[in-house]
Amino acid sequence: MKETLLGRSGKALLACAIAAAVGLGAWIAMMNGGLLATTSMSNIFNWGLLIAVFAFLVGFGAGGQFVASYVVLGRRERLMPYATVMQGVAVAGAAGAGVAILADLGHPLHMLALLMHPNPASPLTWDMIALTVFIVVAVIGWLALARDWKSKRVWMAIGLVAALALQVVEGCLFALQSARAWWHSFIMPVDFIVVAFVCGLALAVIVSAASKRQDALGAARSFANLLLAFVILHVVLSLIEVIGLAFESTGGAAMALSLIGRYIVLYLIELALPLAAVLFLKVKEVQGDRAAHDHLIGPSKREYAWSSVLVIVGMFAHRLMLLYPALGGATLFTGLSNQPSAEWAYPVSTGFFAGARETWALTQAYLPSPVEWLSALLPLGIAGLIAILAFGIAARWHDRRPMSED
Amino acid sequence: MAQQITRRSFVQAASVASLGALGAGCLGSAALGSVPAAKALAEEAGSEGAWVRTTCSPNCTGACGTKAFVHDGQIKMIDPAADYPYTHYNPRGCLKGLSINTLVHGPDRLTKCLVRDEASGEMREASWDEALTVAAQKLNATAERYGADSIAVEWQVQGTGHIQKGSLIRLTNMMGWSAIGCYELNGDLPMFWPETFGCQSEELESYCWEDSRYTMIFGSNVMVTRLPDAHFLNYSREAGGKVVTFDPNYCPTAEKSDEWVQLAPDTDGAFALAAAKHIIDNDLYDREFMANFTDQPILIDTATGKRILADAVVGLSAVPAPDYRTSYVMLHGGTPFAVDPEHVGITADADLEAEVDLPLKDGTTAHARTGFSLLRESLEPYTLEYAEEVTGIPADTIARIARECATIKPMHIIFGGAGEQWYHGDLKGRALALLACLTGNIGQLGGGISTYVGQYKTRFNTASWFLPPKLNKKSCAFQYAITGRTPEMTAPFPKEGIRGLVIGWGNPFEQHDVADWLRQARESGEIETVITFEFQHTKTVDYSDVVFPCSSWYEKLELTTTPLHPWVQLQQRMVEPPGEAADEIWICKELACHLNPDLADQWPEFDRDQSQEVSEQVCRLLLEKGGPTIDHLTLEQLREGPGKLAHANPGEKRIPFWEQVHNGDPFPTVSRPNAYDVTAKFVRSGRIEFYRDEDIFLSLDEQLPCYKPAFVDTEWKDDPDGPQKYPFAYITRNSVFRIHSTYVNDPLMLEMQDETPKCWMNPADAERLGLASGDLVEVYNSRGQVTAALVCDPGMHTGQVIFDQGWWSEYTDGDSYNSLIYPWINPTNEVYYVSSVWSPNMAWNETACNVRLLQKGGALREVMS
Amino acid sequence: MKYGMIIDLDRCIGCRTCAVVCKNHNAEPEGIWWNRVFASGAPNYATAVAVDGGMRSEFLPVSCQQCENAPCETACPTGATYTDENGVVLVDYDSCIGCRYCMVACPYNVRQFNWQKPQGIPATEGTYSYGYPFEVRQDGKLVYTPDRPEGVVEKCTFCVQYTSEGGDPACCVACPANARIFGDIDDPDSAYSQYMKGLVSPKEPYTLGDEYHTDPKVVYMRSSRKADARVGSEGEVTER
Repeated sequence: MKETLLGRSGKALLACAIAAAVGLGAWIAMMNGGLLATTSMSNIFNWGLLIAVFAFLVGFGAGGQFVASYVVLGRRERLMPYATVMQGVAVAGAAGAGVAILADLGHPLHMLALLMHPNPASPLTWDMIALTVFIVVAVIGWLALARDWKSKRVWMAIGLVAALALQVVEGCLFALQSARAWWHSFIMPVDFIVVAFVCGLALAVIVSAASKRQDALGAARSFANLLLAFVILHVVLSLIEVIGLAFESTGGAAMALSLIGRYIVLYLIELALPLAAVLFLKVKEVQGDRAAHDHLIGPSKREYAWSSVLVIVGMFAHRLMLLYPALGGATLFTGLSNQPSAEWAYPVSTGFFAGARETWALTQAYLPSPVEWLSALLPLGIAGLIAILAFGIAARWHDRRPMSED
Repeated sequence: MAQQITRRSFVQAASVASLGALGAGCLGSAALGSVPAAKALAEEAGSEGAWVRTTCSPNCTGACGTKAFVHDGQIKMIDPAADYPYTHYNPRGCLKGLSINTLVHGPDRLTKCLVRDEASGEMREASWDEALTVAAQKLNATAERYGADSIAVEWQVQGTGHIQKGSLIRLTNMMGWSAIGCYELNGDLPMFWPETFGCQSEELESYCWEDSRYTMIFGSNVMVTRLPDAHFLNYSREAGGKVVTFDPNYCPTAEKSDEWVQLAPDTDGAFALAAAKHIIDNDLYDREFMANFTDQPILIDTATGKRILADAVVGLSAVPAPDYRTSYVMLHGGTPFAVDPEHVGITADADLEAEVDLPLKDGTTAHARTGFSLLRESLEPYTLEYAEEVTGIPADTIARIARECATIKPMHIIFGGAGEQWYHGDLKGRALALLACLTGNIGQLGGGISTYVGQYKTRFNTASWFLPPKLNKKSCAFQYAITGRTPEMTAPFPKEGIRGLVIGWGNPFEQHDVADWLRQARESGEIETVITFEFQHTKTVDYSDVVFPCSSWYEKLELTTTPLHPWVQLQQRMVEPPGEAADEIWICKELACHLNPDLADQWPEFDRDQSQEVSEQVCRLLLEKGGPTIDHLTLEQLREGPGKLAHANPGEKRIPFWEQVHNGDPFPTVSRPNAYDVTAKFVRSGRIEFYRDEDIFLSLDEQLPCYKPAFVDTEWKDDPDGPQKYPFAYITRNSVFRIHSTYVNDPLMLEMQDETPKCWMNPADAERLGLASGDLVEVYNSRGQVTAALVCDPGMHTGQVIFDQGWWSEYTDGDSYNSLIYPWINPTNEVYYVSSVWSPNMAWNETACNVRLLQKGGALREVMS
Repeated sequence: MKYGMIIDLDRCIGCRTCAVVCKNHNAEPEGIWWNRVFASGAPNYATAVAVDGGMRSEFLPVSCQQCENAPCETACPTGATYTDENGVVLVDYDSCIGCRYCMVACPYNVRQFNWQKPQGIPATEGTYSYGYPFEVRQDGKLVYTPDRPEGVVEKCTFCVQYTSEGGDPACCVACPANARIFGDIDDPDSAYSQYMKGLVSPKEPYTLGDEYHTDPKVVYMRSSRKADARVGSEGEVTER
């Protein structure tokens, strides 16, 4: 058992370590070469891929916790083996998110300023606190599960609260910015929670589908049913957002809508792809149920896993789509001073001229540079490393435990 | 021979020479002891830096007082000096001048002499001695081969600097080289001025704009091209005045006006004549003014079209007057009388409209009519409906504006280069001048007509420095180099053509490369010598044989004036010229001595490091000998700030033609630096003349102002397919980012514009050609082409392609945007020749072109600033 | 004391002098513009926008609006962005971590990031750097330096280097149209207050981006230009 574990996760560990190392190299290159030369960001699109990765990973952080807390607090005994794994994912996602946001800083050497005199009014300060607190809570929660503390239910409850808080804060980080019509909505924090559930559950489906346990398929099915609900919820919330924008007659809303139009393919990947994947699983389940009333057949493990991967791809698209309609264009809209309407976008100084590109622009088509893509491997790799290590360590501890639960 | 001159022998030669007013001896050690205050200030400031005042004065008419912050021997930033006693002039400056520190210290700055290497053909750095020696050898060789007059000299606008630029003028005037009149070369000479008023031009200084209550602007984008003065139009509006801009395009000036009147390109004249007709028909005109100050009561022989001389009429004899005047005949109650051409304002009762048979002394009888009778008749075709058809302005709008401009006073017309720089630009000017006179606005504060093109105006007597004792002064009209000689020409042109060029503060291989002649003539060897004074590495530098690196206006002492304001100002040295760069006064002196050691006595003797002190001496000389407009000012006063030119009329502001309208002095006013009699003959009646009876005017039927359409007499004249092949007018307007070709390489200007040359079209025109904003297009005609990014502007009238002039060809893939242009010479411009007053003029806008696509979306940008 | 700035759109001639002197005086690196001037609806230079059958090209300079309720200051996690005692929103370059959250928060898109180490411009020898050559510190905070750190955000400071000495911002000093008026909002005799009262030229004030509830201290005066000015109207000019 021990041998297999190390053998299987050893390769994954190595892969993640290499990814993290490559990411680190890319990050160093960005810092040395300057962001102008190495990234596609500008004064218009000033938050790029690393912020998308941050939001993406934070979803797994909170989502992992949601799943673990759901299983433990709900006493879903059948799903209990996956709680520890998902709690490890919570730690990994949150830590990776932290790395992503640090890697995105233009002047990380000034980080001391954040510790010396944090601005209590800044949602980013709340975010730093919420993320730090969550990481601590998640680590404790993971220990509680891995070491099977008696207080594990308490920690799962605390973890749940911390994860909810984290997602609310993350949502507010965006939603409080009235300058960005695409974000400035109360739905944003709600959707952040929903998306975290989607991420956590999708991963849980994959983990259970990948498991060799006897009831793995059943576990996958349980998670997948929940996943279906949250994917639908996310789609509904998203549509409400878009409809809301359409009824908002501001320049900002018009700009956001036009940018959604420009990135409609990505938006379809965000919404239609996960919806199709979970519906596919549901249809398969229903078909299977009809075919054999007394015998549960339905989607295969492979189908569960791949469908959930598609959901995760959709969530990554979602994190990118968090940025495009919000950061793809100017936010100042002006009109004639003696007329009421103000709907003409006002040009932004891009900062690109130093890179021999346009000085001014109304919108920017952002495509992350190769270096940016590589730099994203740093937080992703670290998250992977932590998740696999957590899994391995928990498994080892589990093996040494005198009485195994299963 | 020049190279044999040692420093010692030169000094000896100079020291024994008489230098006229200046004198070699005046530069004793005592005089040299005075260190320029500005420089001292900068040096004393040490590590804290210091602000030093100077004057920004490229060829833009601004002459803006600025102060620069000097730190560590560099200019770090620039502010307006804002020290004009008339506070509405504060602040002056613009985006270009206030960022020139990036050029002064920038990558294109010339710091070493450049000489073309005989072997490689490339420019290489050289010492002053070598550069001066080579330049002198080449110039002397060319002069020997083709005559001294085959060396043409271009200096860009002396008003921007009388000491250093004056040095090249002085040098030119002792060498017998042909001075090109840059006023006309630049197309700035508004020919209607000498044709109507007899003078080079007169204009309101910009602070008079705020006194106008009705301002009509034709072909002048004041908000861009007179940027430091533009606010006076706003002040006029704030004071209750109305500003009306007539422009084919919705330019910034249209935006800042009360009313924009869109008219078809080059149809301003048709509007003006219809308005004049409406004013006359509705009896809204100032009869007394027309009778007192214009030629309109003068009798014209209807058979010959000539004005009738008093001496020719039975019973009359000419009122005695100088040779440049003529005594003509008017009627008073039907009785003829000889008109005194030396006095105006005394014929209020003359019959303005009359027809008479006059017995002449030769026994014949002349059927005569007054000018005004003929004018009324000639205006008959210019009905409101006709004008609407030509201009596109609704007839009722024309009628309303005609009434407004005749009844609201003071009314001022600004007639700018974009209107003037057409083949028939003079006709437009004459028609607009007619409006200014019919409404009686001449000689009134805030009234009249002004043309602000170029910092040409000589505002005081400059002879003490410009004219050396050993005078050998010549000039020529550059256009003939391209067109060839014409039967009607009166202007001098070198027998052997232009074979050498001496260029000061200009970039002709970009800016005057019309029809690509200049580059071709240089490449073919027709122009064998080019010597350039510059401070930036321009295309002209690349075409030169020898380049002298010059001081910028933060590195030398210079004396400036402008037509736009009354302030005499200094440019002051606050940082050392970089590298080997030197003041032009020293360069010109040295070049003169290298050309001909006998000329040493025409210059003060001094070393390069004494240029400042000598410049001071020259400045004092210019002020002292400058005559009544300036001789009350001293160098010390000017060091402190601007000094105001004196004027004749009472009150704060100078009023053009005040002496004529209030004192009865005859027209014209003097056109410096010419003597009065040289230009007085342009209006022999001593009056404002709307009727010209020279043969060429009669033969062209232009004796009175009339409207003639664009291109018919030029581009399309010999080419029936012209309108199809080249259907667009090619308008090379001024950009806010440049002063002609200066500031093109200012990094801040380049950044603002994405370093992208652009052209503009009406979107409907573009659509017809399948073009859209962001396309890379080529604008072309049979003579040349230029590549640009297309911008569609719905505010533009159809039928035009606009290219913002000034771009160096290194930014346009080597294309010279002026290669499309041809220097059409209107024969009326050839009736007389006085350089920069009556001369063939460049009609930049009289250029037809077409456009073709190079690359769809090739310059795609959302914002093309 | 609270500084305010008025930009009179009726006077603004769209010349961009304010943008250039801003850049020159404040050593703004290549690619960075604290202040920019475009015509509303017609962002391409020298173009117009068709409105109600007429044309318009109303110039609108935009720089930091010095908001009383500044979203950038709220957003800044380190307090690098702060409002000083004169009501001016400043950035302490020493405390900026380059998170760019303030840029996300600013509705006016005026914040500019140093995406690279500023280069200076090539000169005849080495490079040349323009701009006010000394550091400015306020209570130890580095609010201006000619030598910009890479990876920090910058923006208009109301020219803290001059206003701290009692001067006016460079854009107000240099505006050739006298369209920019600076002064103490609290002082009824200041140039700002006099202009606001219409004592110089009666105009109607308004602020940009009211929907963002930022309460700017940069106030605009409405243009008097009529949208249908192509046609013009009669009888409005009084004879004198």
